Amino acid sequence: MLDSPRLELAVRRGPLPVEDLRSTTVVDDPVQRRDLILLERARGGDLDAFNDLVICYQDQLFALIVRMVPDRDQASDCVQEAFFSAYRNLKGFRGGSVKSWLNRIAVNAAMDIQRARKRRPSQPYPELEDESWQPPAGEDADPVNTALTVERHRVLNAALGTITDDQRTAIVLFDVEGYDYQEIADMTGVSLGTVKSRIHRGRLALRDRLAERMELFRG
Amino acid sequence: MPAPDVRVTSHDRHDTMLMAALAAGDLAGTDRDQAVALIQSCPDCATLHADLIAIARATATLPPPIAASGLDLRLSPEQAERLRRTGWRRFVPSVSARSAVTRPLGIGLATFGLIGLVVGNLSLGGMTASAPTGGAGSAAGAPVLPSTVDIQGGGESASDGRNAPGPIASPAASTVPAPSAAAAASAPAFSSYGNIYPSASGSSVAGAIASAEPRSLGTTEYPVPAASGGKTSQAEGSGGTLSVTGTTGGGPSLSNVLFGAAIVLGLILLIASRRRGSAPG
Repeated sequence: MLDSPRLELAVRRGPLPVEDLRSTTVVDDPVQRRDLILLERARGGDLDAFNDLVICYQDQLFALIVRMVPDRDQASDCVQEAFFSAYRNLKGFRGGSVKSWLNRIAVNAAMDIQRARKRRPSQPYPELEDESWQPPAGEDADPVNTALTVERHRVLNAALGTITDDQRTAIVLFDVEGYDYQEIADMTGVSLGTVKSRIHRGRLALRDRLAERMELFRG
Repeated sequence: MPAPDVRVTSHDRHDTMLMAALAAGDLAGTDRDQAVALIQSCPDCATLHADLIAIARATATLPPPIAASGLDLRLSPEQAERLRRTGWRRFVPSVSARSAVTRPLGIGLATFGLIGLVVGNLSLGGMTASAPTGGAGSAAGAPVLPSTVDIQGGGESASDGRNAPGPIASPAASTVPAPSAAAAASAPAFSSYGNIYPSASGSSVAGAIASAEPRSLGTTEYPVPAASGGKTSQAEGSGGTLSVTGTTGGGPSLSNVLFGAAIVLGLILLIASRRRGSAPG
């Protein structure tokens, strides 16, 4: 590998395993059009329209935030607070993607919680709370591989919970959610260089935490 | 292309951030060449690079968390009513949304107000400081005397005309020199100042400007050591106390109010632009 002129890079390539949050910026997108209609009605005072938006996005926002805050209860509170904030600031929406707008509000709400907490989470990630959870596996999945995958996710989640809030937020937004550097910079209100630095330092910190278990990842 | 000469003696000295940046694909040019050379020359760096890539891949493939069961975050009409902005708060989003203007304006206003307060008060202090110097007579027309000094010597009082209190004056007296010790000694109640200034005990005096009623800041007594009649300006004698009574010139001036308002407005704008982060427009 080292002799190869094309080094492997830890850059996200290809389609995301989950829906790409950047895909709704196209005006012709029916989802975006629906969101804009609902938002416009909500701005006119239609609470049902706003609640339709809530139903559309509450699970997605929860899935994003639950990786950034210590537990599911806080994630739920955070998403609720994000919807409150969105409702308060409906007139502040200045076009673009409704989904991105809501994501930014939710991320900022999560960062507010992180700032207020100022301490390490003791039980940081949802998978650790629910031992019955298993990743989806095909019918022909190898039980050994499945077990290794479960263990890899477990230790990785645990390690993610021990790095700093800023680093975790940047890594989740970049690696898990698929945002690019500039989008993360806009979302978190820091410079592009700071985003890069947080991601780099976060990965180095993860590697330190996972030093004893790196064989799970090298295979 | 020959690899650049990387003289390293220990992996601990290598730049791990360089490896992380290379693994993320953020390097170009000579930085990238240097990082590649480092990987080729140091097995630990190569391992680190591979590990970072593996971790990034594993993070990207983390499964989505389980959705919260029964999550229903819809707003009730009561919540919506509570969240709806009324009165002046309706205008906050339109102000805070323009953070490109709001933030610099807030910083500018707060800075302007702060500097204005400091400079304004300093220059005011300098103006009043010069008024009372030179004896009782020269200060008779001054509207405000921020501090008065009463020297009660235990023995021989300072009557040689040298200025008092000099270095032992209170902080207020350091910017506003007190009348001469001679005047103080010869006129214990500052009678030569007429009824414009308060007495040494800080009591109010009839005839003060109505809009700038002096307020007593209390009296501080400083021990005066027994002097040997040297060059010091303190009261001479076997010791005693030097009383320094501070007063203010009355309520805040218009400029201070304006500067204060600028600070408050600037802070409000800063907070408003800060809150924009929680609710991006």
